[in-house]
Amino acid sequence: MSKMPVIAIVDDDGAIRTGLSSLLRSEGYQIRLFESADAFLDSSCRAGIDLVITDIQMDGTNGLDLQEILKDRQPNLPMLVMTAFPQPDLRSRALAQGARCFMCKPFEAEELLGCIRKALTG
Amino acid sequence: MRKRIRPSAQLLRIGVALAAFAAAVVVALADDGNPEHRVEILLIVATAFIAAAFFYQFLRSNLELQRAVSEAEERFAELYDRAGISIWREDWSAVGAAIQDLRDAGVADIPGWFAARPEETRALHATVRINSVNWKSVELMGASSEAELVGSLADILPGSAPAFHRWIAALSAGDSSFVGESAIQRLNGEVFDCLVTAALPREGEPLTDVIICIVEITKYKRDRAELMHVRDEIARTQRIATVGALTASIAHEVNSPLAAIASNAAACVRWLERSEPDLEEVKTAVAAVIEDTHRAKAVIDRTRSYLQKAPRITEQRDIRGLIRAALQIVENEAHAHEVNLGLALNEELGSINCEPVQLQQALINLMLNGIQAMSKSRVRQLTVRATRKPPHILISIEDTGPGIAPQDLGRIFEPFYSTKDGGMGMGLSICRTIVESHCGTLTAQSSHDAGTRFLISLPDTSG
Repeated sequence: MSKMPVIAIVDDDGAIRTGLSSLLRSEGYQIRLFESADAFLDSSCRAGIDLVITDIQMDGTNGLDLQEILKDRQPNLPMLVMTAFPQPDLRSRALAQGARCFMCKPFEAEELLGCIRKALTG
Repeated sequence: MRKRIRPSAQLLRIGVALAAFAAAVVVALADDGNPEHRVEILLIVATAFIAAAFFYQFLRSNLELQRAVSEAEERFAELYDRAGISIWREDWSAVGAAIQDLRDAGVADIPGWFAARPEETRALHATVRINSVNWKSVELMGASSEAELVGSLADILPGSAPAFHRWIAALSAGDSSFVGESAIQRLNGEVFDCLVTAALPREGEPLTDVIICIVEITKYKRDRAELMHVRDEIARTQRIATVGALTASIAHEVNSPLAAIASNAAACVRWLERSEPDLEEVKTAVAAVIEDTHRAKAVIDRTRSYLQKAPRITEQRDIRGLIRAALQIVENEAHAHEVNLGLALNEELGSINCEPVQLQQALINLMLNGIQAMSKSRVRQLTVRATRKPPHILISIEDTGPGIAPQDLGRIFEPFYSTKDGGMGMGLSICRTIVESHCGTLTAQSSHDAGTRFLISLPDTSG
């Protein structure tokens, strides 16, 4: 059996981390949880991550800044961006910076899983 | 003011001199040399002089009184002719008699009685007669002489009909004065706005010579309307901005727990669908769903609590004044829609602790709602009634529009629910919120083709 992809969930909202973790684990993915972008950037296990799902509005480094930093450091690392406060400029900036998907909370589980599958295979 | 010596005063002086001369003659003729008779004669003459002096004083006072009355009449005539405002002298005695008849017949709500009988009201309006007007009125009305403005009020000022209901309300309430705005048509057809004031006779006194002053306020009204429009625009923009900011804040705070609930619920299904369901994971996910539901509810509670805690500026205000002020604001709109406004306010309404601007906004919204609802109705009558029924004060706003369909009646107070084309559906919802924030209730009664009645019930705080 091939190794299941490792997905990092970066969100300062504990309930979102727990919910997404349960959903993605039920699909067999391995999960790493981070309560902030800075915690993710400081993490030693960052190299083994196959996909990052990040929230935008977070204290410290926000999701879009994280995306920009990772574009330099790990340009091939696919990212999904999500927000509870969707605005057209956020969406266009995230997609322009290479986000594979821009999701507005609350979203359908199938929408997220579809995005993940597409990002991992594309 | 010139002082004139009247001929009657001269005559009086001559009369007194002649009386003195006559007394002297009597003394001379009656003197028979008897000292006793002389004393009697002197006493009689002295008494006659004292009586004459009193009589003279009485006549002088009477003359001074006549002169004062005459001067007052002259002053009034001068004021009437030269006053810079339009003055009308009208005979309202038939209206006074009709109101008295209804009172005698035991009708408690006289304005309401007339509001329900447009034909009788029209007939009574036609009995009011203009007896005379001053030159300013002639000028204001674009007439060539006073004669053109003397006659039936209904014929000369047909635009006075809507205000007639307010006159009935003031007269039947025994008000000491009448103040109101009206729209009057000049003889050339041009309509102007004016302020009408009158000192009303006391109850029981005749209404044969009611003096009414009219001041044109067209420019003032136009300026005020523009100011109100600007104020409304600012208020609307502020409301939109507030609602927008509030919606964004709620969305942000609620969408996160909703996203967590959706993820946990979807995860549950997947854990259960496994060949070997993982009940521990299911249990954890369901517990998370419950927790996130509480979190979403807390957001709503917090928002509601924040709104309720918004600082309020309340004050004790006279209810009659509040209603009358609101009615004045919608008068233009009523006139534009050819709607008759009726007012029936109970004498004992007292005052209420309220946010006057907000409460007035609710009243204006309900009145405008009624006026606009009657745009296609044959009979267009909006009647505002208020009465005190401890521990409540009841205000009703009734229109003669098409009514509200039964399927809509239960939903009209819901936000964003509108039966009007292009309506935002917030008006009635805001009205109910305002009334409820005053610990009151707002309900609606309506039946097909029989109009709609909005009833506000507020706690009586006048003590």
